[in-house]
Amino acid sequence: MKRIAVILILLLTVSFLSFSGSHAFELNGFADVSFTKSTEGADEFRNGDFAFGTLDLYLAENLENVEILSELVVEFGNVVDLERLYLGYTFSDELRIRIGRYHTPLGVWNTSYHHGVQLQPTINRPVFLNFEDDAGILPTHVVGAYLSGRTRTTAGVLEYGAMIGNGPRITSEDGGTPVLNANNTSDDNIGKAIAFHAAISPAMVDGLKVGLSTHITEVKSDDAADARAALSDEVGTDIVNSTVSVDQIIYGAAITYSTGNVDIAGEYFAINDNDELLDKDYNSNAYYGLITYTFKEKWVPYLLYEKMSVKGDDPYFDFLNTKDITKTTLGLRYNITYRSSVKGEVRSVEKGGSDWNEFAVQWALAF
Amino acid sequence: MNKARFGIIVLLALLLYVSNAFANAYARELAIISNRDYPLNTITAATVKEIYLGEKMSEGTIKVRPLESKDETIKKKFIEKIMGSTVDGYKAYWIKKFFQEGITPPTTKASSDELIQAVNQTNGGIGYIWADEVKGDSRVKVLLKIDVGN
Repeated sequence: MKRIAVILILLLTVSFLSFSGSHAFELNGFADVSFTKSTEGADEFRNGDFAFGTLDLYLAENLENVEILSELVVEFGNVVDLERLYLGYTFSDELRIRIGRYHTPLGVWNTSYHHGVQLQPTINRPVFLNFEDDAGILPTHVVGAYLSGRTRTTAGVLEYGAMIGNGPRITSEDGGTPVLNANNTSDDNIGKAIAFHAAISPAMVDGLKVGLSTHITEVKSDDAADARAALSDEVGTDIVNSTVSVDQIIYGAAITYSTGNVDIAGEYFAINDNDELLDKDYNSNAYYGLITYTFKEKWVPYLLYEKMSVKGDDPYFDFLNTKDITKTTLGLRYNITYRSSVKGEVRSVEKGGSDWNEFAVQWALAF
Repeated sequence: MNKARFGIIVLLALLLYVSNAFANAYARELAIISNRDYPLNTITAATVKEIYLGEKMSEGTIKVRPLESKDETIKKKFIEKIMGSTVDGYKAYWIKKFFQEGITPPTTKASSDELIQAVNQTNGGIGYIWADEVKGDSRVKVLLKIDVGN
């Protein structure tokens, strides 16, 4: 808590000094609170939980062609994460470079919606797009260099990008459940992660955008024996017998379409893991489809369907304790103002052979 | 009877013509203005929209710097007619854009005169204003005029 207080004081001081100086950095942020009740699981889920989500503090500034962006998130009550920090330079619309920690350019959701939940249409991200420290299976953050741009052609607007960065590793901090780690300050192997993406908004179909992305990396587990032991103690089963060492390729396809008050989005990811030790391939996939209807700018009913199917013997998913999941979410969002909304959801969840329902309400704010 | 019917039709047509002429007389135009060193002399409404959405940020090697007036009336007209959005929708878009990419929204100026002054002094500066307010003003270039109705 002391660490959080120090960081908050620092941020507020920077903000105060900047407002009183000749150049102003504007401190912005997001906050949310929620209530969730489940028909299954541990007592705390079945009893219903009030919870604060994240306090997201955000600074961004453009100084001529140079830009800086930082996003600091306080979550789970006592964890402070520097989620994004990069410097950028814009040469032209066709070429922009960013160096630092940013969201991996994979698909649409991960680059459109960050940690402030006010911006995303639903209460939660699709499960397979959860952040690394929230049992995520995709490398949603990366530290590296990212070249991107956009250009208008006769066929439509083309967006593209390529990145290189530290590949993720699997760690088990303080004996907890293994999670993906973005390798913020050093890479644990020489194989750098690379990614490419391209999307087109065709001139012929207003509101349509179609994109493809690829992410290639090498993932190894860190302190595998300790992590296995910790996980076995926690769930009482012997989960894995080997460390993780996979060459991973993720292929993504995404489509978004807006027409009138209706917005449609869908993404599909195919994940290929090649076990370097056994030279064995595993193919898994995950996808979601989302439809929203905006009524008088205030009311937004929505339906989200998501499904993740993973190969049980894939050491990558085995180690992350990932289970197949199918989830249907029916929700209603009410925009109190353009900066604040209340969302209510009913969810039907099937995960690893169990199924249950959830009810959730969230109030989110951008300030 | 036929004469009476004809008279009513003529009267209605006249009324329609007069009301249309009246509306046209009071229809206002928006002018898209730029710094005198801006590399183009004309611009399309689609490009203006891209600029005010933060999608187009440069014209050749010149960084485009969109500005707008605090005047809610002209802002509403511009957002509805050019951006195809509502004021709240536009504001919500910019919160999202700023948060996603760190791109800052158009700079706001307190009055039309301040806006013209800022466009005049800003390399790559571009703004929108009522066309009659910039008539004969040599400090800025007019790139486009758009009829936005009453």
